Amino acid sequence: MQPRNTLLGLCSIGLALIAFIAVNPSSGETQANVIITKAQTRLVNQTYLLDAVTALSLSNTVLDALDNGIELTLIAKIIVSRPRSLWFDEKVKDTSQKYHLKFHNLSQRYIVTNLQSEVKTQFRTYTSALIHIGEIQSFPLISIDDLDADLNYFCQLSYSLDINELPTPLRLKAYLFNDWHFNSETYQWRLQ
Amino acid sequence: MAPSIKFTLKSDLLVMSVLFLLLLASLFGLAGSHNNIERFGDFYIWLLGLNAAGLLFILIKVTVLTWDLIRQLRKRVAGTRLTLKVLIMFIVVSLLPVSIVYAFSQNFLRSAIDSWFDIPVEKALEDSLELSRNAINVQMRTLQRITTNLSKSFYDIQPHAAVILLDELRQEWDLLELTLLTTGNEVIASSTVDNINIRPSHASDGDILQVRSGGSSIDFQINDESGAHFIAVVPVLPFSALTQNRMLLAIFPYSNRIGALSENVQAAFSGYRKLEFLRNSLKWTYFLTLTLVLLFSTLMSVWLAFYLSRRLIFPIQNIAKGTRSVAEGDFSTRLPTSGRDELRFLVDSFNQMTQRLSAAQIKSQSDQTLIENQRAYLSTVLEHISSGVIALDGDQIIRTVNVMAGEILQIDAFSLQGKSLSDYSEDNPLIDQFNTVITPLLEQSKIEWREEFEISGEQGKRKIINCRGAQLIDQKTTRPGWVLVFEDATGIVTAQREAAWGEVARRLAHEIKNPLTPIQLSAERLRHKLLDDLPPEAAKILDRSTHTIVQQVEAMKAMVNAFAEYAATPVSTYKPLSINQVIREVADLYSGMKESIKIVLFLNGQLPLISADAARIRQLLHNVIKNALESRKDSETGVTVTITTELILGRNQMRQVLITIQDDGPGFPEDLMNKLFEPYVTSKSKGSGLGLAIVKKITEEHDGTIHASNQDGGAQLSIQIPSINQPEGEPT
Repeated sequence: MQPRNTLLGLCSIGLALIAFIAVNPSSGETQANVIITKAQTRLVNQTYLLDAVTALSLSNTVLDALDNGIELTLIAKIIVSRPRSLWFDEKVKDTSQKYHLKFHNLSQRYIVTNLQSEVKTQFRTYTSALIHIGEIQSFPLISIDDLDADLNYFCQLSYSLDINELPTPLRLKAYLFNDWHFNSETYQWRLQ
Repeated sequence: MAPSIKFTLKSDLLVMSVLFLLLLASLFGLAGSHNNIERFGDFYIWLLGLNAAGLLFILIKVTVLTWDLIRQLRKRVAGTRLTLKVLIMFIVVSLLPVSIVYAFSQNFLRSAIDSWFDIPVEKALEDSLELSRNAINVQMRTLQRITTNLSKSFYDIQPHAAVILLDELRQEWDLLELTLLTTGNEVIASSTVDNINIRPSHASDGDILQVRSGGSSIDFQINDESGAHFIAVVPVLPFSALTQNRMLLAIFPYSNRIGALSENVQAAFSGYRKLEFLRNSLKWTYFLTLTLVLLFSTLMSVWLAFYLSRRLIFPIQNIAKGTRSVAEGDFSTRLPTSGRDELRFLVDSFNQMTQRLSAAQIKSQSDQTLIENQRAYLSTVLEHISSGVIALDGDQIIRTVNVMAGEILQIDAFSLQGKSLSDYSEDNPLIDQFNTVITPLLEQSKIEWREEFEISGEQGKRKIINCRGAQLIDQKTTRPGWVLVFEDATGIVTAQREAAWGEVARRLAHEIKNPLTPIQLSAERLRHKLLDDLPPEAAKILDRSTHTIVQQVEAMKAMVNAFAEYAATPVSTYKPLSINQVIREVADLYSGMKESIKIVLFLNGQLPLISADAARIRQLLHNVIKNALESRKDSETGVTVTITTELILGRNQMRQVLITIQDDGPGFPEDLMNKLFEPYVTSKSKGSGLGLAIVKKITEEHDGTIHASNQDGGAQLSIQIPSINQPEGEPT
């Protein structure tokens, strides 16, 4: 390819990215909010267990979608890493908890399914369902055998909405519009 | 230039093909993602981004190409109008149907999606759901009442008895589970239908609160494994202060048939609501996909139109450029050939044409060089021949003239070029006379003629012109041109005359001088013998006659001697000579003549020497001074001769000594001016007429020239003799 065409190609891709980033409007409605209020680990029987409390709230757009039968997949991503100087941190453990949240019209219940344990829990309100999703209790994070006692490790916890699990017509909107953005700040603490 | 365009076209085709296939696949994936989420759903956003980037690239490419086209249109580059036409044609042909299909598809999709949603259907679904919900509620109330009635049997019952009762009642009422619990949610006794999994259920926190406050609760639970069921929790009343408060938990199965129907209603309603919620998004997505397809088709068509038109125009542009090069005289242009169509034939023909033109040009240049060489050769010959050459066209305009012609006619030869001889008639008497003589000759019908004639310049210097004319036949003109070849024959004629005079003089000296002495002696003898014997009268006659004879013989002797001297070819000895010194010596000889002659000298002290025979130069000076003396022989005041010497640059920048001798006499007679230096030409009654002829002869012996004129009333002779480049260094 000629340099001129290469330049054209690069310009095109650049402009597309700029346009993609620039076009990110918000409807001005209630924004999704995720605040991790507490996250800690404790060592029980040579295994670190994770306890965390996260306040989750959904935007009106997402709630509307939920009430209209759209199933949401929420992911709690948990990473144990070892910091390294002058290089990227080493990920010792990278795991996640996936929750399926849907509204059952007949029973008027919000059903939360833990996709790892396949346990379903029903709630009369979505708030209760979100509280349930936000609570992680005694989650077996990592065995002490997998860690080096002389090193320091850090844990990271973050929540997000899995847009790729949404119906295809909604995905572009979910990517483009802030109403659908459901990402928490990464909460980090020292493993102990 | 051409290979570069060819390379661009090839690379464009490559890029276009790759992009076309990529975007086509991407669009296929994008369209497929709506129908096959599992296959393409994960790549939806990437496919969308890829399409957007690809289309943006094509858009920029098309914009650049359009801008180039506009620029070329402004510059009127060959082929751009054809490109524009092809482009417009392509856009019209591709855009119109695509736009129609696009609009139709949009409407179809919109109406198709809208047709999915029907208000009665939605209402029926809602009603069905409501009906199911109400049916569940009625059932829940009934089951709650039954559970309350059952609870009355467990007031103050012992745990072991409770187990049996629970089992009986569970079987009687076909329950899934019947459990007696404390209000602290501790199991007292339980009976379940599942004998393997006998883990009793517990009440929820909400149920316990409800029970503690004296109320009861019933909940509809959905379970994928066991199906839907009802869980009723009621207090065992009355509460006793002695025993722990109790509550009864009963799980009733939901009818499989009714459950399945309800679940169908739920699924249908949920699917409908979901679809309705996604309606706008679906429309938007389909709109986006169709728009991308439209843009892809349109932009690709425009790009393809650019490519095809450039591919089509490329050979034409090449031919246009080649034609322009040929028009500018560059026949080395060869066009690149490609393809096997008619344009290839045209390009091949063009290349053959330029090849032949190139060969013809080379031959023409070769011929031109040959002609130039011949012309240069002719010009060199013309410039170096001693004859003047003038070529006249049919209108008697001078086309060619050589330097010698200018010298003969005393004019700058190059100024004559392109003009007629008559243009110079008024300013140049030589040309006027020349033109007067030749004009009648040119008008006659002779093809060739020869003429000798005399012309004279402003100072009366005669020139004998020997001229030949020949017609130049030119097919293009009706009137013939002429070539005139002429030469100044004055020198030759003069030399011939001088030679003739020399021969006459020699013969005179030989034939006449010999008998003169016997005549003289005879006359003297006659006188001597007879004078005394004759009577006085006769003696007187004899005396006078013999005296006359003797005198005349003496005169004849003097004349014959003069002729002999003129005819003689003296042996000259040429040595470096100071002309000033010779002039002084000669002048000194005449200083004793007092009043009769006065010689005034103005001599340049810085004169170079000349190569001369001193005796001949003295003779020259004597002859001139003698000539001056004789011109004033009758005058009482005598004659004043002024001799001036100076250094001048003669022809070819040669240094020459100019000796000017002027007297204050009557000057040369005007009628003799043309033949002053010819022998036997004199205005004096007793002159031999050889004085100036000898002066001229001596001058020419020294490679000099002489010129006679009348200045300030007296005669002036100007003699030029070449120097030998050796300064005299002598004071004046």
